[in-house]
Amino acid sequence: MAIALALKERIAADIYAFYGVQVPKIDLSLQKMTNVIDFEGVEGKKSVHVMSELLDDFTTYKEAFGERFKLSRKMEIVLPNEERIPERGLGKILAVATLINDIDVIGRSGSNIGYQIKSYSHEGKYAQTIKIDPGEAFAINEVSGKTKIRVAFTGTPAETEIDFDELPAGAKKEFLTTLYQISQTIEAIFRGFFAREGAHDFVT
Amino acid sequence: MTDYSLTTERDDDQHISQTLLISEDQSSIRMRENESSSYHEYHSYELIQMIGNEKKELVHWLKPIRRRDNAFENTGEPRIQGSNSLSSGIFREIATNKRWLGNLNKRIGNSPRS
Repeated sequence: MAIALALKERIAADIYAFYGVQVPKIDLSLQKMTNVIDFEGVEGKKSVHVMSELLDDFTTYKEAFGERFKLSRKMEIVLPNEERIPERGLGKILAVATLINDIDVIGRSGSNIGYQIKSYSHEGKYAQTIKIDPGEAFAINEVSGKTKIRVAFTGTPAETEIDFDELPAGAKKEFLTTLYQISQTIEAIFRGFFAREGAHDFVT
Repeated sequence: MTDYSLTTERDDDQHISQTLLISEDQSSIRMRENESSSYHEYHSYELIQMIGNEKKELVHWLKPIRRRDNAFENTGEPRIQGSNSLSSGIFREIATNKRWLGNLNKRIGNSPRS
């Protein structure tokens, strides 16, 4: 069970990366359980952990916007010096999330996405959104509608949805571009994610 | 469009010069191998695949998934704020000294086979 869930997260991260989403490196490693909560008697017992490389200068949306974070057309990244900079990457993340039904893509108050500030001479300064913790990908949940971006906003519950019209303009464009890329992806590529050596514990 | 030039060394020691034109959103890339050839347009993910055919080590998503059981050691630090995983700690990657977050999904605690 532990290795299947860990593999699920790793494969989800690889699919995000395939479509150009920024994700941290993810590996699997057998480690002793540490800082265990809500379950007695397992501290120190070994189980397969999901290892994610910690990123420098990374800020989650929850840290940046607080508990009341909500996506909106007017969302802006504001730096401590009051400078307002554009965001990149969120639309790609949401498109891939719909593909793999990552219903917790945003996380509670934006705890599953974050950003790093990037600055290049030819592109200027922007906030690069990064997807972390895709542990709820490939969720199996009942749905009521078929045409909504079905991603939970307040944790795992499945029926919270994002209105496409409420996305920032840049995210809308990225979302549609990525949907097109997804539609052009051949079946062999999808099969490749799951048919790799080492993936069988999730697939079977 | 952003204009890049690069030189690639092939296995037969021949050098080929390529020009890449990358769209601002990086979703499409136009490439030509020399000045006399015409540009061919790729989506960025297609180019990644194409490079992957030449250098398979770049194709992360096609690599075997291998556990790295001996690559990390627990730093003993407390769990990071906000983590609700069953097990959660900060680990050090021995080869690079980089810090990694190690988590165990809380659903494991409900599984009889965990």
